[in-house]
Amino acid sequence: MFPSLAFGWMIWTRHRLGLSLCAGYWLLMLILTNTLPVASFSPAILPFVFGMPCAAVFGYLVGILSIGLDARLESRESGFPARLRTLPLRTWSLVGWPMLWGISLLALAWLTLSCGVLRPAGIDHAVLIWLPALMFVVILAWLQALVWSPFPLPGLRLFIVGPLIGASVIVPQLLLEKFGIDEALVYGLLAIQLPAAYLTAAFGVSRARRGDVPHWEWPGWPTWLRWTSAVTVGRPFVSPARAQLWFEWRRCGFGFPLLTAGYFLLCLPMIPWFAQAYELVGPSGSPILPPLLQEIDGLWLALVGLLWWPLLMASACGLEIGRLPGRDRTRPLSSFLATRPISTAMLVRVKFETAALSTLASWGVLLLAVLLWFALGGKAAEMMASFDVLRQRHPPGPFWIGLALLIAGSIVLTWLRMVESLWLGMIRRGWATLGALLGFGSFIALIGFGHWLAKSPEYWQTFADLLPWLAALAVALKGLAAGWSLRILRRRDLVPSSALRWAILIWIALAGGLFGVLYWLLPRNMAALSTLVLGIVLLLPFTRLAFAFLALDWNRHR
Amino acid sequence: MIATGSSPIVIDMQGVTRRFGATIALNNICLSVPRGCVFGLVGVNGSGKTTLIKHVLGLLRTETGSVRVFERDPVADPVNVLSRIGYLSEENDLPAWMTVAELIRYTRAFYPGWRDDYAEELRQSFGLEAGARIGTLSKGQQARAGLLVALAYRPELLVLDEPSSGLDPLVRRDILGAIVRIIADEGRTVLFSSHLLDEMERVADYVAMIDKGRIVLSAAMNDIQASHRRLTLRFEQARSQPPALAGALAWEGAGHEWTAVCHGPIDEVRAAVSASGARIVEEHGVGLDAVFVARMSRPSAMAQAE
Repeated sequence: MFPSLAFGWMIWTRHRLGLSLCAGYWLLMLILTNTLPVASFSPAILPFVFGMPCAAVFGYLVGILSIGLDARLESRESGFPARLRTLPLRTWSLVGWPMLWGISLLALAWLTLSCGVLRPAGIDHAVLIWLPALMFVVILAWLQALVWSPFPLPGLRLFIVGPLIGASVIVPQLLLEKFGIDEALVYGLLAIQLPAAYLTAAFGVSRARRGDVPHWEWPGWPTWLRWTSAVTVGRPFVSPARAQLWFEWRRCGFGFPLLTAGYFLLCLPMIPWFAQAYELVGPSGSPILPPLLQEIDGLWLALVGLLWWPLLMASACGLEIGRLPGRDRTRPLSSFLATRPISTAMLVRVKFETAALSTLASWGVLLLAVLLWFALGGKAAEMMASFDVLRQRHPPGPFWIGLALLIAGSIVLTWLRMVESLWLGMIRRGWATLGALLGFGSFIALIGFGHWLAKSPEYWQTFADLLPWLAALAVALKGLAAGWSLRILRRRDLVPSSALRWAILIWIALAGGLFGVLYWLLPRNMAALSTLVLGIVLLLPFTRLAFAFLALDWNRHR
Repeated sequence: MIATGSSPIVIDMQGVTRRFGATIALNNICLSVPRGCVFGLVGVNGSGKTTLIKHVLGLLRTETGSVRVFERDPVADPVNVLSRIGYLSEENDLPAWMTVAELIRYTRAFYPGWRDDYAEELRQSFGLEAGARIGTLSKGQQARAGLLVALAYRPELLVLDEPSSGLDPLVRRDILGAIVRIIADEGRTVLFSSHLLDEMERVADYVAMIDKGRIVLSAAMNDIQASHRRLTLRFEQARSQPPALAGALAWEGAGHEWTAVCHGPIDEVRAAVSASGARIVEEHGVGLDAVFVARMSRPSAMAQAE
């Protein structure tokens, strides 16, 4: 086999399941967009149906094509797989083929998407077709170069990856949009980075092959801060649970707040542009926002839209908190952790607490970001004026209570979304991942269905008649799953009976409280009581929380 | 099965069978480990040693049979069982992001009997830097760190799953030293698996040999040494095949002279040799290594027929 083909075969055999799923999704989108009247869809729906899954697919592709999924970015060592470094190939070839495969596949993926999906959807502009394609391949090429190159200091790679990739993409865009530079020149600026990235990668890999890696050290702590004692350092933990909480927090707790901070650093300066986007109207000239939101100022909408970031990302971060520190799928939980003398219930409870800490820290970051925006954004007076207008339109009691509940509810909902996905991170089974993907696909399909229904008033009555039955069926299924999980929890004595009783009582209290608040806040004609009750029962997780205990128990005692 | 006399049983496995798909990893295992002994598990790779140890730790749920450690089910009651066990695995999957000091601080929270002075003594004797990250330590140093946190609370039962695998002689010496320390504490028990049979021979009181999920030999080390002999036999006439000799586990040789590793009362073996028309020209005891090779190289049908 030729080396060029061998590299392609290597990528395919290692990631064939993921690549097949991506290809299947691509095909599905091509079929749907060329058979459904996508061009008539509201712009608000497209990001949900296409945007988020596509972003996930491109993120996945960039990850696997960087040929460094197993690399530890914070280490100084090269992330280029050691088994490849000893192949009897010259470095230019060893680096060139995987890079060429990567950028070719990524460019092909984007061009298929843009020509097969965006054009039928009515987006047919050269800048939107070619510029993103070039940006994607430049991102990948730099990522490969930086992951494959050894660094003299641990952690240095992390400081360089973000700014370098960000600058390589943002600078050409700024030149294009702000300074009106010719498109051809911008394309040239992007394209010239490819050979630069290749040379960097080749230089790095050749050093890694020779073992020629400088070994520097970060400046040490001042002597008076340095740890001098060995075992007596740090106060002992007051309990095993507290030690475990420290372990979980250090392992993955601050990833969510850090992501939130990074997101806001990038997005806060762009609030004015987002605000303009919210003032867009749909193809028929009607506003794209629902009536409830039309009275809110665009700046506020943009800010609140950004504030929902933790809510959107909570599930993914919950997966990470739930993920067990194991070696691979056959040994998902490390024997070190599995043999700690702590109950499975306590291990799960600590993960719930880590999620709570992570949620609070993220919302704390978010609060700081908002304060920063008010202080530096130059829009504080304008926004406060529009807030006053909004406040005066509503009775003070429901307004303030509603606002407080919205904030508290968002925090609680963020936590709930984190903990409800813990089990999926813990279970580490292929069928569970597939099930989650199908669930996500169903969610996307449901949004598409909702959009179709909104445009088909002749079916509204039929749907309204069916809705309570569908909801009742879903509640019955949920009840069955909850009963089954409770039965196993009791049979295996995983959770004390008293704790189970408390959990059920808290769930009922939460559901009752939520019902009371919604009944008080929502207009009487908005939803039937039965629909409200069924909706609340479906919204509040129970079975998925119970699954967390079962999943951990399953992997701890296989 | 080990005859235990009056010593209480620390580990009791009865009729434990475990399958992974079509593979039978453990096949009707019955094993009792008395308190205060060093119990060695021997077997080729994939014979079921680690699976057995995982059942002891409660990391695997029994499909059939029962496992009791300190008279408790390690799956149903992990807290009370694991708090009395120190465990060092071959994988040694300590969290790479922790420093040695953090590892000590974290681990001691789980064990009320943790002794800081002993942990510090071990850390210094192992040459572990408190501020060093686990992930940056060599394999041997990581094993030492794992040993430190497995020993510092003086567990009642120390479980070592091929702890010396791939380690240099100095680290192996530390591990053996740990076993000796545990033995010095009266009433403590060690269960360890290893391929290094000379080390096992030095420290083990009992040995169980596992082959294809079955225990093919389980006895006190002294009994094993006493009941196995290597005999060199001379036949009057050259033979192309060794004779069928009761108690012979393995044969080597050709022509007039054959050497056998035999098992059983020596008088009965000698009588069988005479009956086969041969005479014994050399006879001496064998080490665990020779017994292991003799038993593991036998066809499984012969082993099961015994």
